[in-house]
Amino acid sequence: MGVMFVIQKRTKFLFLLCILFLLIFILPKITNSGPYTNSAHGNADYGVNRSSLSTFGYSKGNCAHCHEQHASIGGSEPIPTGGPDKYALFYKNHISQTDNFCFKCHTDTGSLQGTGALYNYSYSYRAGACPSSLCTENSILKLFSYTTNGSSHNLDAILNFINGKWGYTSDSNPCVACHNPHRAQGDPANSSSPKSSSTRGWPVSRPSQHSKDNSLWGLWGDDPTERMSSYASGYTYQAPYRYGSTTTYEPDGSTTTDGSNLTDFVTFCQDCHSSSMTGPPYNLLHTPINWEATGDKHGKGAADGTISVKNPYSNSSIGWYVLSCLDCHEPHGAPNPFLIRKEVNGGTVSIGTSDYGYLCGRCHLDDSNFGGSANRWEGVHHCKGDYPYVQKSCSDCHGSGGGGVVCQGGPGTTPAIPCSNCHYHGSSANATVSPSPRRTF
Amino acid sequence: MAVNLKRFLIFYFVIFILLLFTLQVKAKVTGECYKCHTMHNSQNGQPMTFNSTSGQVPLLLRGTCLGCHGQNPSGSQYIIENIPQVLHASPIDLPAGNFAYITGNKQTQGANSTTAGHNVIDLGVQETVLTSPPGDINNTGITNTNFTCAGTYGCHGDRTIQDPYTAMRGAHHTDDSILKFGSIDLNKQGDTVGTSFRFLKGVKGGEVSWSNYPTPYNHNEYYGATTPGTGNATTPAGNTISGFCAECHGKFYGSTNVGSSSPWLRHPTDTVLPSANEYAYYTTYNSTAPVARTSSWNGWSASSPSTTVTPGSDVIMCLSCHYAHASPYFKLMRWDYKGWPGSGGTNGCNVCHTKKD
Repeated sequence: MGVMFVIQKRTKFLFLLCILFLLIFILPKITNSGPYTNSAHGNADYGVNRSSLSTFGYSKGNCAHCHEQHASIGGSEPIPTGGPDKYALFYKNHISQTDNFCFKCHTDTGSLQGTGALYNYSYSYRAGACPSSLCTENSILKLFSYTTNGSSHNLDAILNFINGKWGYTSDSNPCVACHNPHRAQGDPANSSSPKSSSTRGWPVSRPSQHSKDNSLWGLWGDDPTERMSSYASGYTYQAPYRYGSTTTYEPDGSTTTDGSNLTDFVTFCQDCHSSSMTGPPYNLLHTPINWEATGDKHGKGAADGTISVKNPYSNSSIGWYVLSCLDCHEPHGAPNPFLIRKEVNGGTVSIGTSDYGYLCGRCHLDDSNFGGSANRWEGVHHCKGDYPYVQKSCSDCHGSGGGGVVCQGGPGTTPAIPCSNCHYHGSSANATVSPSPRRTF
Repeated sequence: MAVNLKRFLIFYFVIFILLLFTLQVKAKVTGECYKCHTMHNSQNGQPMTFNSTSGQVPLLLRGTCLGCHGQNPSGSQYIIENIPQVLHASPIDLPAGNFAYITGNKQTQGANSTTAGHNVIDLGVQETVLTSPPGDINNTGITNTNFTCAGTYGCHGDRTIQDPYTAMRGAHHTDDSILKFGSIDLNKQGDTVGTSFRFLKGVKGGEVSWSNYPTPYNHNEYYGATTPGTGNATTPAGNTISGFCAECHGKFYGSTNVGSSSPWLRHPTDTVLPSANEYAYYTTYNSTAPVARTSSWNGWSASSPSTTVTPGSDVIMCLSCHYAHASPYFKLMRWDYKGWPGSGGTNGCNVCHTKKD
């Protein structure tokens, strides 16, 4: 009994000692770091670091790199000059698609940050591990500069949309629609490599949760309930392959495939894109996007019969697949129309093509899988899976030609119809095979 | 017998009241003249100046401004014979800071002799970068070679008078009880140098008592306004401490240069600390980033400074971030702003911007 008492006393003492060490060594570190210093901008090792401020010895991550309290240090305004700007920023919040406060640093040439180059990469590169030789975009400005040869998120349109919503005003920066600059994390941070499970960060915050209170406007995706696995609960999220791999998956190159490591980009994007954006300045014909069970098949809408798909997707999950927006789209810009990624499901998508077959073919089976040619789609439309059209009177739809290759072993002179004639967000078409009409996206 | 007792009690009650009244008005400099003045700067053949020099000082004083208020730059006393010291090596600085960070008598952190404070020429350490006050839109005429403690080229005294001593004349002899807690009267402040906060002519406020300095929450109460007023080179806008700073640094003050509401062009002063969002959490007075009080603040009538901050009522001022004389930190900051977050130290911004740590 006495021995027991001594042991208990010692255990208690050791336990208290451990608690003491915890308080001394761990708690101060916890209390010293807040949401800003945990962000990419506020990090003391790789955070904001405007070179004209660092010459005065300002720490990396310091507020002054972005906010000039007086637009004057030592009697003159640090570069860039031009007087004070709103929010005490060193430059105007937003001017145009390629002239924005954020781009003063987030560019690979002439960056005000550090040595003059701040590299950021496409989602295809970061999540898809697309090689830099193929996915060459290395700055946010470059991605947003895809206007004529390619496409990019229209910053003026974003600002127009958020103005008056969720606490945003006409003075807001459109980049701040998606990113909380005082909380956004690098994903991965301070790295030129694709994401990995050990270097993840969470860069976005939901526009609908925007608040001037930095503690209220948190990151989106950092909580497990804010992941694709949560959005797809009751359905199936299948992570695409990484570039050139059949064993590793987006977004972090791990073997996780259920979206539990992926931000719920559907909920995130739908804050805006669940609205109609058909008129100017958006001109997005296929909005609002309906990703729910009543909407697109790529969302929670069910497939009709079979789905002729490539790995890692399979016909066994028919009716239950839910995709993430970023499985196909770049968030900032891309050399393809509609921000289509250059790399999808482990392979590249042709640059600048208006023929979406190359995109569809990253996941769906084209004729090359049925003895025909790549980027031809006779099989899935006329005789394979849940094909919608009986193959007859070819010229009625195709204008001319005849002799199906895959279905009839013919010469195949029928000209292809652009995919986008029938397949886009919200699309449906009549079919000659039940069901008709049917959802075609 | 009863009548005599009654008379006795009335007599002593009146004496008590008179004594109480006398104690209250004894806020001006008191005591023997020789403690500050000397007729010949000679006593038993020895100089009477505090620094034992033989020259004459105007107004028969025993010292220049620093001669009295910086008697021992390397010493450890921050108050000598009731004279507050603005240049000393004590670990305890007075509310305006300590010129010792400029002279090198105290160690700086991220600053040097030209960036730690206001380099008045009296210190003998001339500013080498700035030749005039930053943002001097009032064209004060102050330069790095004439900047001094008082007068036209200084901060204290009547800034319409060039000579520092004439500009300060009589101030120390003025009854300034209206600036002291327990008897503060804003309506009577600011008309003369002697009735102005810290002899900054025109500025109002409540002055900390040296008798129990520094104890927690024994701090100055600075006067602020809900919107910036209009001032000039010699008149502080709105009688506020920020308006006073703007006499020389006007470009950093007022709606034209700062804006009138969020989004601000520069950091606002003489503006109410918002009551919403992250600002709502600043409720306990923090000398790292103190606030100013407006004319409607009921704490002016209290017997001591307040320990609380009321977002939505209290006011942001220049001294929320800066010291007036000098500090260990770059640009007279109250904390090592420049070094944060790399230094791992205090982020004073976080006192108001509570959610941006």
